[in-house]
Amino acid sequence: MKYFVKKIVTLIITLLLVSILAFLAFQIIPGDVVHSILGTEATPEREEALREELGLDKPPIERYLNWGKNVLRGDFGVSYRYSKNMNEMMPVKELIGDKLPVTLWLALLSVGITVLIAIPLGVLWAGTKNKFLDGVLNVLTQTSMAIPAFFLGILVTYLFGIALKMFSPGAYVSYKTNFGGFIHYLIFPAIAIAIPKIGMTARFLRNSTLTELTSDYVRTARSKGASEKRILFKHVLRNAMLPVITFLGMIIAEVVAGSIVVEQVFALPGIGRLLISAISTRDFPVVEILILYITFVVIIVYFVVDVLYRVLDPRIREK
Amino acid sequence: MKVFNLSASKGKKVNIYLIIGAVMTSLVFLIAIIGIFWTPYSTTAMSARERFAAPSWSHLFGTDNFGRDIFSRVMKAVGTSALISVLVVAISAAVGIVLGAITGYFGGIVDSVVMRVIDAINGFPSILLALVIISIFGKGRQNVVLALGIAFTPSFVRIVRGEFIRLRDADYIVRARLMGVTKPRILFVHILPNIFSTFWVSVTIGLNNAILAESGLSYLGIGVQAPDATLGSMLSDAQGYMSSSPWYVLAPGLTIVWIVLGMAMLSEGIGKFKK
Amino acid sequence: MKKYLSIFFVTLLALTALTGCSGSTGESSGDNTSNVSNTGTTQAGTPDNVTGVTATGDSTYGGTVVVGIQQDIDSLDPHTATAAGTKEVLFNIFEGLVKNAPNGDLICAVAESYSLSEDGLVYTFNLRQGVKFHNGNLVTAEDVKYSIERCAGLLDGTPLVSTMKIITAVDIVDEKTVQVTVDSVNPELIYSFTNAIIPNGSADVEGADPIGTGPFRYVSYTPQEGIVVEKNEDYWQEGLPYLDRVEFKIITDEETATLELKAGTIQLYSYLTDAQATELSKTMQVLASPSSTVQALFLNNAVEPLNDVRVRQAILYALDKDEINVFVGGGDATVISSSMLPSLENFYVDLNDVYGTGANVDAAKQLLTEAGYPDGFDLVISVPSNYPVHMQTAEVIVEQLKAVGINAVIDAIEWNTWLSDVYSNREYAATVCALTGDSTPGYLLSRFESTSSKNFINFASEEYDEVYAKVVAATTMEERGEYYKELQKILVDEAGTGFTLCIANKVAVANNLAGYLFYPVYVQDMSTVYYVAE
Repeated sequence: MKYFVKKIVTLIITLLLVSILAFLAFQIIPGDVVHSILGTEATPEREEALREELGLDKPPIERYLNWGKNVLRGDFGVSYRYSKNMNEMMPVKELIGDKLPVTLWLALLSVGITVLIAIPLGVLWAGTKNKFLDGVLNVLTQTSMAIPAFFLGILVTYLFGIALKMFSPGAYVSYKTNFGGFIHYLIFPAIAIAIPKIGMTARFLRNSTLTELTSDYVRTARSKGASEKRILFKHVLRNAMLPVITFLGMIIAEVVAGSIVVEQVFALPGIGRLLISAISTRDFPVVEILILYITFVVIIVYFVVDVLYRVLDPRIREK
Repeated sequence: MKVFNLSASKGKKVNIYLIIGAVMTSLVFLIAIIGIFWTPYSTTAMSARERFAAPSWSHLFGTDNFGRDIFSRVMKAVGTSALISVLVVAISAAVGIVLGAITGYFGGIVDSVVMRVIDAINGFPSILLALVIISIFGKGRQNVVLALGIAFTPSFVRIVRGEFIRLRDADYIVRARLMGVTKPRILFVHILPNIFSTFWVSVTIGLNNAILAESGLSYLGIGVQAPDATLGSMLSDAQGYMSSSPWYVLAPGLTIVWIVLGMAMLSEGIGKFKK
Repeated sequence: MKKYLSIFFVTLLALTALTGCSGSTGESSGDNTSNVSNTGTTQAGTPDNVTGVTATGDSTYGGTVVVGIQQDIDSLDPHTATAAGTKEVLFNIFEGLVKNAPNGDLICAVAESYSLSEDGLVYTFNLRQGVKFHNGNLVTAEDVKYSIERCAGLLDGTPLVSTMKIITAVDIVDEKTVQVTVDSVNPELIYSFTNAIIPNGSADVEGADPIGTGPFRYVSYTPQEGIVVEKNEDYWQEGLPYLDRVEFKIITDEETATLELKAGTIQLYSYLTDAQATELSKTMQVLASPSSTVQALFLNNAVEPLNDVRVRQAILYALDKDEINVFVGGGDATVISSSMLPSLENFYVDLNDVYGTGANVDAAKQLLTEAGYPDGFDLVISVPSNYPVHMQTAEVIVEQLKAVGINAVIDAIEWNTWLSDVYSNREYAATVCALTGDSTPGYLLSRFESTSSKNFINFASEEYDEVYAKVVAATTMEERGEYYKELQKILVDEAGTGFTLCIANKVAVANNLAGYLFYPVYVQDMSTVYYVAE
């Protein structure tokens, strides 16, 4: 119980820290939303009127406190740049809520593909005595990690889209209109995300398995006459999975926080793209909430990883 | 001699990873160093007549939309990119080792404080971070390195920290503690060498990511400035010509693959050599 | 990621536009089709007065077209939207009392005719009978009054359209007649009446959807994805539109746009880059027309050493515009020298001879020596990095300036930083970008008047200001046209800025579509587009 309370307190502190940092960042960087909205049509009168309308004429501290008060009340404010209809701006909650499923499904699919392929591959690799297979896997995984994400996206597009015609590149299908089509389209960006992650995860699993195989308890088990298979699956994998879990956690956090490049290449309207466009248009309410969301996700994922660590590794639990 | 035996890891057999890695990497270094002093063509001079020339003997990698020799530009860009990514990884890995070791091994209040800051940086978009750093310190390569260095630190801290947590209670460490070995010695002599296999993977990934993150920044106008080129900025410039002049995008793309793969093979080879 | 610098647009002014609307003045009221044929929209076959004609064949009704657009919508309110990319879409939903036609004329829309009093101070608009809003209500004089007052700032003191500031009163004469009174004569004001007519009070209604009188009605908008419109069955121009549904899809990445065009998931995409046009012309129709933007190497006339006219002239001599045309314009752009669109024939004057279209290195070096910079100087060119065209142009210019000893470097900046630092605060030395005109021919020249808030190059010429004062006082377009030519000349002689190109607008259109019309204004008219019968 104490553990949970502690975790929640740290979560709150981090979120507070992040929100202040993001607010400060917007005070520092050049360019402001008023110029962004009015563009080259800006006249001093319209600029002033708009500043007043958005509440930007107030001192920074007052603005931050107002914003914080509203967020605590559950009011995330409205976007400066996206309009909902003729005279209302889009509420941040609605805007993000709309984009979130895209990113979440993308994360789910890519992590799913990664786990499905990387875990068996890593185990097979660690267990193999075949030196040729070892060499091939080594080169393949190294290569998969060496391909730049943007380049990989293009390659996937050309291979699956243009050559094999398995999907229409760029023709994103909204989850609201056709869920099947949506998932079908997402599989390909998910593959582009998964390829390097498979390489990384498989290597991680293999390395940590090999490390565990040289440890004392394995030697003991061997001397007791346990079969290699039994040693691998009963004893070693359980320990070898530990660093892999941290790793998978990082991958999940990374993808849920928005895969900017892949979203761009595959024209996916997800969180990553929203963040980039909101930063470049200085849409502060959107950026602030998105950063808090990303931080929140990252922390929660690590928290879950931490709990799993404790469950799986008795040495930590005892401490 | 079984030179082409991929598995040559035992005994006196030739270490194929080391050889391939060393050849690939030194070739890149050689090209980058030559590129500082000499390139076959000017890297900036334009030619309206020679736009989009396909690779040939006179232009090994073809020419770009301004008729510039892509091979010459890649020669220059390799140096710039390598320098940036090595510095970024050096900064973030060094900070990552120190912070990761301390937080992982000791835990407690230091751990909590450092990890909160790391969490905060982790949630913070690197582009926004770069914009902030550039508005404070101004433009220039060193600030791109600084921004990316900060952005890359959290992942190194986490990896190192995780490994230190794993190893701090390992039998041999407990024994060392009982024998009265000093803490810095335990941290950096007993534990650190044992995490290198894991750590190297992160370093090679980091190098790759640094090259690409820089290209993302160039694309947004906060990276290295034209007509100077990095592999990443060449890649983003070449995007629009993917279908009509594929060599334009393949040249910097495959060069990145080559560099990262070479480094990875090299580190793999070094790992095997040590055993 | 292309946001075109300014905002909406401009045109060929019909000198006869002082009364009536091209061809349909006064009594020819019921004759809607005469307007339609004037816009070059015939039922089938080839419209004869338009550039870039698409595939011929019999027109059919119905169908859906997906149009790729390059930037997100900034507002659904036609009076507050500022982005060119938004206005080009809203053109299909909203109409003003008058609207732009492909040939540069204005045609009557919500108004059926209008007249101007002899002193030029009172506009009388006769409303067209039977024009319906998308919510089914008939357009009333109250709606017109409300819309104009909102634009002019008569409702709350903030004019939403700056040119309409001079309007002092909007009076309802009777059910179908509205009188607008202004306090000073401006023959170009009529172009501002292209601003949308919206239902009375609609901007105050909570959650109001965009409601206009245009050929398509608004269905939905999803940020980052796009906007969907459907056919307005009650549209006043009979026979229009052809399509049942148009989806404007946001595609910010040019590579994605190319792929989608090839895959057929979008059927129409404009402002192609040179690379895209080359690639796509192999498989689909690529139409071209002069665009409504002028690109330039803008020089800050207030900073050292650019405050010396000889230095600016040297830079202009050093520019090789023909080469820029080859590298970034695909050779199809028009080389320009001053701030006026070549397509505005009545106002444009060709001044390319002054500094030549190629590089004149000797002349440039000579001037630099005279100015005290025999070895050149350092120059930072700040360029908005989201416009590949301007980035590429800047790269070419850096090389050209090198030849005369000027050591230029590019400072690529974010669009927003550009807006603040370069455009608003004027803290820069040189920049490359493009200007798009307003709906008045003189708009592109007005910004160089020394006190203009848009004079971001700090151009200060007494002669220019004097002539500009005459423009404002002039009451006829003929008179203004002469002064406009004088202004262009002064701008070139003073080497205010290095105008380069008017880049062609290239549009990719699916092979089975026809009827796409180019406008001299920044719009994307989908009402005349149709599928060709097979």
